[in-house]
Amino acid sequence: MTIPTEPIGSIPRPRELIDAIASVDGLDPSLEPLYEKAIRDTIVRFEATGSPVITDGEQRKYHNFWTYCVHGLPNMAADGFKIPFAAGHTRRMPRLTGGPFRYKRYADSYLETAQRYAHVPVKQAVISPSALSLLYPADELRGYSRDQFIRDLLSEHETEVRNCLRKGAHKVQIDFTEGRLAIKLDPTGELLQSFIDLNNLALSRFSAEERERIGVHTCPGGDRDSTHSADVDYAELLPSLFELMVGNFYIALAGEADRLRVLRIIRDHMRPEHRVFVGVVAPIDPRVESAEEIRDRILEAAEYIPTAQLGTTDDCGFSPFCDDTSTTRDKAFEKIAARVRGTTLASKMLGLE
Amino acid sequence: MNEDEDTLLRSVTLRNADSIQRARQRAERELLLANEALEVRTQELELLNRTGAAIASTHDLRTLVQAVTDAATQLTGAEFGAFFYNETEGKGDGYQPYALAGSGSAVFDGFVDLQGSSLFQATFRGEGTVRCDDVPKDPRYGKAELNRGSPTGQLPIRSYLAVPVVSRDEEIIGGLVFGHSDTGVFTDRIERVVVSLAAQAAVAIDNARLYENLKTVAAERERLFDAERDARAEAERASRMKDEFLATLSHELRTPLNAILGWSQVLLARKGGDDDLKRGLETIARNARAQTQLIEDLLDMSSIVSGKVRLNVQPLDLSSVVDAAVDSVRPSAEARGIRLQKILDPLAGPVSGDPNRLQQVVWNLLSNAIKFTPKGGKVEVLLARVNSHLEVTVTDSGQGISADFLPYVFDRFRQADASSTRIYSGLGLGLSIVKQLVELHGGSVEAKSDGDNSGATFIVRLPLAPVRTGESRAHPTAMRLSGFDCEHIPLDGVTVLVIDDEVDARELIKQVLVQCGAVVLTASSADEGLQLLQAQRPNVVVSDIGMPDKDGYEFMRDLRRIGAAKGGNTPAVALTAFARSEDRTRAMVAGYQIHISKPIEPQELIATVASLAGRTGKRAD
Repeated sequence: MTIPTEPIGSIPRPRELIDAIASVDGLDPSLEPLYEKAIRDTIVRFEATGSPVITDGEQRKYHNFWTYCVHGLPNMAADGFKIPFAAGHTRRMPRLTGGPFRYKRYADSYLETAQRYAHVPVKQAVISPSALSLLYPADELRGYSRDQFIRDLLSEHETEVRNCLRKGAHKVQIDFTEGRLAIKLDPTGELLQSFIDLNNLALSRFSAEERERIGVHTCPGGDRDSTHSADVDYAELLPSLFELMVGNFYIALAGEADRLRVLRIIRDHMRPEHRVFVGVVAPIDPRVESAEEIRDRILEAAEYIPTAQLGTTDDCGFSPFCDDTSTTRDKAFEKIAARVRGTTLASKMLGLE
Repeated sequence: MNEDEDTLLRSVTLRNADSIQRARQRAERELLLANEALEVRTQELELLNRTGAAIASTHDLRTLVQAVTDAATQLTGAEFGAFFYNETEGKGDGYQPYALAGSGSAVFDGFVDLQGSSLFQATFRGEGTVRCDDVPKDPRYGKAELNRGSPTGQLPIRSYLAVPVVSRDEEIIGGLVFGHSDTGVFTDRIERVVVSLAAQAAVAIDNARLYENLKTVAAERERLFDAERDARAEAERASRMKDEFLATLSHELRTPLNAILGWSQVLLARKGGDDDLKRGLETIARNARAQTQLIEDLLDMSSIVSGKVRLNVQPLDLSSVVDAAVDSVRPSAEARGIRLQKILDPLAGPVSGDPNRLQQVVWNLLSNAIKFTPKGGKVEVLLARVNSHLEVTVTDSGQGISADFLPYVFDRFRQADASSTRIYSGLGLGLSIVKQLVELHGGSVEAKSDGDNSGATFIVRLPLAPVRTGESRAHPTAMRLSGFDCEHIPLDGVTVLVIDDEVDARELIKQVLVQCGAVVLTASSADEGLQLLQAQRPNVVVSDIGMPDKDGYEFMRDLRRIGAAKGGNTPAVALTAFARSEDRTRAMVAGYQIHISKPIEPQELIATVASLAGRTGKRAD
């Protein structure tokens, strides 16, 4: 039994698709053949890396991993919550202008497409309820209370996760990058705690078996080779993160300045039922890590995390926001291939093969 | 959803809403702060860019140091900033403030107080950047200096920042120092900005110094160039003065010669007499003529080098020029037993030139050849056409020219033997005049010799005249007379007024003209001459030019003004020792018909007077 290894999700889209999207709306039917082609190509190349689990590279998440499910809804305005990044740029969330809140689409539709082409298990990433809770404006919407919004949000999220599980997703990964951002935005920890509570409220609707196939991903939010919360200490986040009622945690680690410190925090707070997938390649690093380098990182992690509970992953998606072209498609696959090889090497060293 | 769940949801929602609201506000605040910081950075960058552009655009040390000091003071928020030059190794004066900025003069006083402290000196000792949040508490600022210059005991500088400006070769050029009366004003960021500015300043100062050095070198070169130009101008001026002196000298020498030569000829013209006297007179005449030639050489040379020679160019037959020259030297060749042979090509063809000057050329070469050829030797002159030019070759069997001297043979004042015991006389100008005159005619001259006692050959090459334009005018060849002849040109009945302030000259002219039958009136001044003219109405006037009170030019202008009825049209001859062509022109402009230079050749004077008298038809029978 080797160490499990999984991707996070996004892969930079082909230039042909990026150029086409630049001239028409992402929902334009004329783009369909290009989307299909991109997904097919992504899966072929993904499988070529030897990765035992793949994704569709989020080729269809029109703008980003955060708002794919509400993109195109009539009750959304552009001037929502601003997420500040270290490089000085911001990403702005949409703002809900009226109820009721419904997803425009569920991620299981992406899963279905990917499964048509894939020969290995496919995992599906979905956005967390806590991230979407930022859609509701500061002032209460007339005729649509915040309570009702949260009820609708939880219900939509549950539907999406259940659909993915039912359709055979290898894992359903809840993207929770806002966890670390929450600490930065509110150093008292209040915001993070409210996010954990909200997400647990949703997760509590699933059985223990189901939760074994559900995970959460946290990272400092990579965008254009920059982050929104790398300066936030994992010590502030991880203890709360492990309170989430899921079986799997995907934690960015490769890009951390002091990996051992993070590993110690993980060791001190993880629970026996958890599997921790540590990030062993860093998408924001333009250099492609060698398999040996990755192997060594895994061996390092194995000193803190029991091998039965250890997994490897990428620190983050390779193009989570819009079409981040700072990392090329080729380089993303090279890095993934390195992760796969490095994990195999480490498994051998650990006597798991 | 049961009641518990519903309650939980409400509680979570509430908490979620509250915390999002707080986070939202915090994010907005942070964005605002980030924007403000960005704004400040942008301004700093703009200032740095402006300063960079300013210091890159000037090579003036003071301007660029001031620009850097101003910008750095503004960036640091200091009350006072200064650039101090490090002069500890130079004049030993310590640190000289070179550029000041800001308005806190009290703070600047603080710098003065600080100068003795090791805190200040550290910058110039190579200890790098010095930053201090509270000066009095810094151990490097000794307590001894605390109150110096500050009676209240309150040091005006609390915050202090000093950054060394270090050149490429690691010399500490100086330091940028900043002060503020508050504590803790200068941050890490400010320090970084000033350090980068100081690095920029160091490069600019290095470049400016390099430029200054180049400028100094260029100025020195310019100064040397000016000095050289001045020296050249001075040399040219001295040369001009020398030429003018030669002209004056020749004039002065010719005046007494005029009388000597003239009188000897007058006496020789008399029939009969003592043989010894006659021989003596001939000797006087010959020597006077020789001296005249020397003076003419001098005068010619000075005219040629000052570009004042004007050639009277006409188509001419070079063989007649050579003939005339040969005839004129033949007596001296014969006297020395030298065989003089001439071979003239009858098909030589014409050249364009001044007949008198070309005759001078041939005469000079022949005289030279005869001079350096021993008794019984041979001088040969050959005129031949060679392609498109004529060659006059003068060959002698004389002492020859050494290979050492050959390249300088045409130089002015150069003689192969310049010692005081030299055998051959002369000024060493003859060949130089030959060269100059030949070149003025568009020709060339060459000297050849196989060395001592091998003889010498001079070859003059002159371009052929392109087309023969009518018949060549025969030129009057100079006749060297041992006396003069009145028989062919009688002046009987011609009244001539002679005006000259020098009695010798006046008498000589009178004598010559009287011997030919003329009636001669004499006047010693212009005014006297004018009165005589109106009273006696002579046929011709012969007047000297250089006279005291009123010169010959003014006399002529007065004469031409009095009108024809009073004799204002009387033809006139200008007689002067000023022999330059411009003197001739000036005489013509003043109203003279003809100009004759002294010393006078009696035959020329007689012929001229006769021709002027004839021209007016006033010859009395």
